[in-house]
Amino acid sequence: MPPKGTAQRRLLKEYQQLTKDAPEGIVAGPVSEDNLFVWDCLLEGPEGTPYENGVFPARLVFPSDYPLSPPKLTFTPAILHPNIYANGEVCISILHPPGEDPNQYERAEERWSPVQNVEKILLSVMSMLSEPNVESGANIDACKLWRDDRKAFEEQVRSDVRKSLGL
Amino acid sequence: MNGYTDINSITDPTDFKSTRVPKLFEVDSLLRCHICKEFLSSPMLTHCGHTFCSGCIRRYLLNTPKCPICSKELRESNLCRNVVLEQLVISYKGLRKELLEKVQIQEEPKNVPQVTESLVIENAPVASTTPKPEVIYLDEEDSAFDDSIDEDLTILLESKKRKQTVSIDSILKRPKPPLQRKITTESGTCPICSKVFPIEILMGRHIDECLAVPKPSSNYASNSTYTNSHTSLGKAKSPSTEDQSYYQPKESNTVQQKLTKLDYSSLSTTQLKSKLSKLELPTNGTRNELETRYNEFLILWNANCDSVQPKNPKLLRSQLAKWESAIKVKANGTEKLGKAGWSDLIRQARSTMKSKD
Repeated sequence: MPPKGTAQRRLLKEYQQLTKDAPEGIVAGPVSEDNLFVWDCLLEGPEGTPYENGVFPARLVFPSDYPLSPPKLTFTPAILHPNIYANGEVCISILHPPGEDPNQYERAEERWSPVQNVEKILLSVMSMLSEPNVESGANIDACKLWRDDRKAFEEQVRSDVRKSLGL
Repeated sequence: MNGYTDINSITDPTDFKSTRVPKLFEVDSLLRCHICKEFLSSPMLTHCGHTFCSGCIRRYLLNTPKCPICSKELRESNLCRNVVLEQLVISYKGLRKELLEKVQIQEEPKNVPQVTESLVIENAPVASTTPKPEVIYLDEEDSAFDDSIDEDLTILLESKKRKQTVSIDSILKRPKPPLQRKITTESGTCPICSKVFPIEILMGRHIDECLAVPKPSSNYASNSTYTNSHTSLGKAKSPSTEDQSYYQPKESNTVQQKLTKLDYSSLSTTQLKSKLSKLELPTNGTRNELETRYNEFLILWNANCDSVQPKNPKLLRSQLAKWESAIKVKANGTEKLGKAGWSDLIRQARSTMKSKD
């Protein structure tokens, strides 16, 4: 399918830009050239966090009216984090359109708008990994563990990272 | 049209990152719309100082009455045309390809073998004419300029072709300057029909003829064009006549009524269909399809009204048809994807089950 529509053209531009000029620790691109609406991403765990040294695969699925509506980001497999649901789906303000406010305390300018892009989403997710927001938690167990027993939380994350690397 | 040429038409600012002037990256990005990332088309300024394509911002405001950048409240009535910026974008789009070639780190020897030396010298003073015809082919969507500009450009193209065919002659008979240059330097745009003519013809018999014969494609012709006659003729004598289409937009031609939004809840399907048929749009499909069709046409139409180079309404209708078919393809595409996604999910679920065991 030739990239005719606005969404495809824009996705292709973002892909071109990301391949030429990607931020450190981020790789992302469409799964196949025939369908630009599904991307695979690889995110490096930020240094100085328990996620350090980890490489986390995630999948971005874009709606057909992108960039009017935000994409969905899902870690595959899921990772332990207060803002990541047990199914891997990421709950972060930049992925929520301004109309809906599931958690009531997100500022409008942090929300999705068509001026955001894949790069900004992935950078926000990187900073979310370093600084979880337990006030709008998605994974309640992870929230509790993070708040009540930080050491156990970090140990759990580190062991998950080691496992994911096959160590 | 295959996918390959499409991909070539999709440019992005990073093209300049690896050139001798990487800062051009900024210029290139600044002339693009934040929503579609294309070069601004009919840019509109918001009251909060941000700029988007007319179509993009109108489409966004249909659902969200806020500025996409600063989230301040924004209505369509707060939008204001940004004419100079539009002209700047058009002008930049015209020279982008050449600019990119000029600042490329590797000197490309492309020009030398193809063009004879004398032609290169001849071309030098009028170099600005050469990249222009390419504008049309750079971006597919832009080939849909209004008719008169197409005519300007075909004339330019023709004169370019002729230049190449007579090149051998002109090498032999050096002292005689090439005929075409004379035409390009001393031609002018007719204020009535917007075609380019040699100045003698234009000032002699053409204007009388043109006034006598009513213009066949009178869609855009309006009385106010007469007010422009002075400036066009004045400009015609200057050497930069060929740039006229950019710097002197035919604004006077944009006497078009904007369409208004419809209140669908108080409109029966038959009423909606009659609205559509008045606009010469198809009336088939579900109620939902009719509404989205009207909405999209509203956006295309109103954005076209904002342009300094409005397109023929026929082009808007074919654009709408393309958009609708793209939507349908997309819908099918996501369906297929859904199935693949499901089998993926099932596989993942099974593998995580196994790993838990």
